[in-house]
Amino acid sequence: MSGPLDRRAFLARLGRSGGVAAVLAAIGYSRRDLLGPELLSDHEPEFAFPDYRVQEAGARLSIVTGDDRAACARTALAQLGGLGAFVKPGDQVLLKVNAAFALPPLLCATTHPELLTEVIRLCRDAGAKRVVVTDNSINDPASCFRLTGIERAAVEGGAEVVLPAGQLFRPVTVPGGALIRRWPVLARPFDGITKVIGLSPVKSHHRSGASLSLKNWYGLLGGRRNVFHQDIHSVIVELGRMIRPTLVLLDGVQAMISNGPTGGSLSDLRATRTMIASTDLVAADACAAGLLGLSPAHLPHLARASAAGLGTVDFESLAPVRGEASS
Amino acid sequence: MNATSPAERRTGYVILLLLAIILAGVLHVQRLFNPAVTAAAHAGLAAAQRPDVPFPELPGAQPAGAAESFDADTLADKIDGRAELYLEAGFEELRCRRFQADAGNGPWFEVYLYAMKQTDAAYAVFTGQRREGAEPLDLGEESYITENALFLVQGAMYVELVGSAAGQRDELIAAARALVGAAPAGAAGVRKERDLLPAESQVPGTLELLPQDAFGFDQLEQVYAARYRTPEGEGVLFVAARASAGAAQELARAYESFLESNGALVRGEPLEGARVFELFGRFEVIWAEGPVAAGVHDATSEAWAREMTGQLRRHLRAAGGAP
Repeated sequence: MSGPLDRRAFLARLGRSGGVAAVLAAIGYSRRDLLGPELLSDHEPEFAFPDYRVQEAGARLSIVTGDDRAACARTALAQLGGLGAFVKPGDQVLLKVNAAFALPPLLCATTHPELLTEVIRLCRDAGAKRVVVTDNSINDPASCFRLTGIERAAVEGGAEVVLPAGQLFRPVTVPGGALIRRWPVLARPFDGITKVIGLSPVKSHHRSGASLSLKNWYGLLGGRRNVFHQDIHSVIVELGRMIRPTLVLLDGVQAMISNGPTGGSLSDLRATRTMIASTDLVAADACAAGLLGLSPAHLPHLARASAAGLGTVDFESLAPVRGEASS
Repeated sequence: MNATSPAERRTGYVILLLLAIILAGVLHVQRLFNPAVTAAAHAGLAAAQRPDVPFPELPGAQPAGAAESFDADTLADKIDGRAELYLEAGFEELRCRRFQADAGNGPWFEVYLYAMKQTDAAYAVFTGQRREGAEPLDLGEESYITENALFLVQGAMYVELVGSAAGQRDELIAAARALVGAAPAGAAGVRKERDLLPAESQVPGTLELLPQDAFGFDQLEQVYAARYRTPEGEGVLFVAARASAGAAQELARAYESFLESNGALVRGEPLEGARVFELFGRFEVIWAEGPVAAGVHDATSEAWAREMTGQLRRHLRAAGGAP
């Protein structure tokens, strides 16, 4: 059995263990990654969406009932002051459609081509220099844009269809966000864009309760975005903070009241005969929830979006303009 | 051995404390959800779609695109948020393909073949998405058709045929017949459990298999339930087979405790030991009939709950109890 350590032996032992610790610390320091794994190159500069809102327009909401989508859209926008109050001559407008699935338009799982045709026409009439139509489809993009009728409606209307491709994505971080951090977003189609309009169908959603105007921006996310389903309400709020569009149109002429977001049967639809246009996405969604037999309380992301300053759940407080679609 | 001095002992405790703090910090950071971690792990999956996906031939219909295959990791790439419905039930693979009667720009339909892990899983997703008021068909083990789509279940396969337009009834039925012919049937007796529910007064098209969390209770899984309606009221009857009579009794007691913890109150006399609860104006009953936990849920009146309890009990005894 050894005797007590003398000073020399103690210092030697201390030196050896200290050396080992220093080597391990150096290895750990060289491997440090304070940001965590990222999907994009460290060298890709981040992108931040400009604020596309027309500040002088304020918060407005328009509700129109009718069966004809074009007439409903026309009337809904007229009740907001006309699209000319938002789109000025020379503007470059991006229409963010829902082309998520390769499904026919009659199933109302995607933006209806009749609505798109009318909005493109109204943009042209307002003097838009360029109209871009885009979405990062869930299924194969070419099939989605073709089978939904969106591509044809866009091309015939003189708009430019931008299908998602790798080089069109840029990293975006939502300030204060926990989920959208240096996440690839379909941002390059927004180059030169001065106004953004969201065109969404009104649908139930198995995960989030409903797919409305706020959730429409999910279609800008790239990568394995389905991971966000684990925290769907949080990511919807972050989407609302990520991009502030000029206005949105919610197509509830036929609403998918069950088996959303894909549906599949015409029996999943109900003729709710309503089109909503608004500069306040939270208010628009709170209003549209009723078409699905839901209240805003069923959609937790609405209250959270409202608390984040993205709009108001109390859509009636905006004194919505109501009317019937006129030809 | 040298005795450790108090100073050495204190030093040791400090080092252990520092290690514990480091460990706590690591565990905390690991808890923070970083989607990029999951995404990075799946970075190569989009490129891993199988080529030459085998797909049944459909007489009279021409393929209008390549067949696709999706597994549990990629199912959301096809059906987005609906994927969880299948994953929770027990999903293996989705194969899908579009077909047309004639090549060209005419109507087409897409066939979705969901291979589930077992027949109960297929039945659960079939019943969980059943469209009310649809026309039942005599195809597969169960099926129905709507204006533009046909849905069926056969063994562990759940099938959807979704038409791009209404008016493709004949094409959808012909395709479904071909698919049923090619799909293996479920094992005999595997779905006898649903026969434990009486047919009398059952609202058509409401029978469903709830794979988990039935009526908000996490222990109620694999529950067959259907809505019933009589002139005196309506509600849901349900059965859940368990491994033994003891397990069924335990489940019944657990559900009763769940009801009481949510404010349910006992009403009237028990029915052969089964207590009748009232919860927010609706009535609940559960009991064990051999290895089967059976009950009434969401009944509109106490009298109706008692009447249907008797009816279900008689039916179960006549059926011999266990499936």
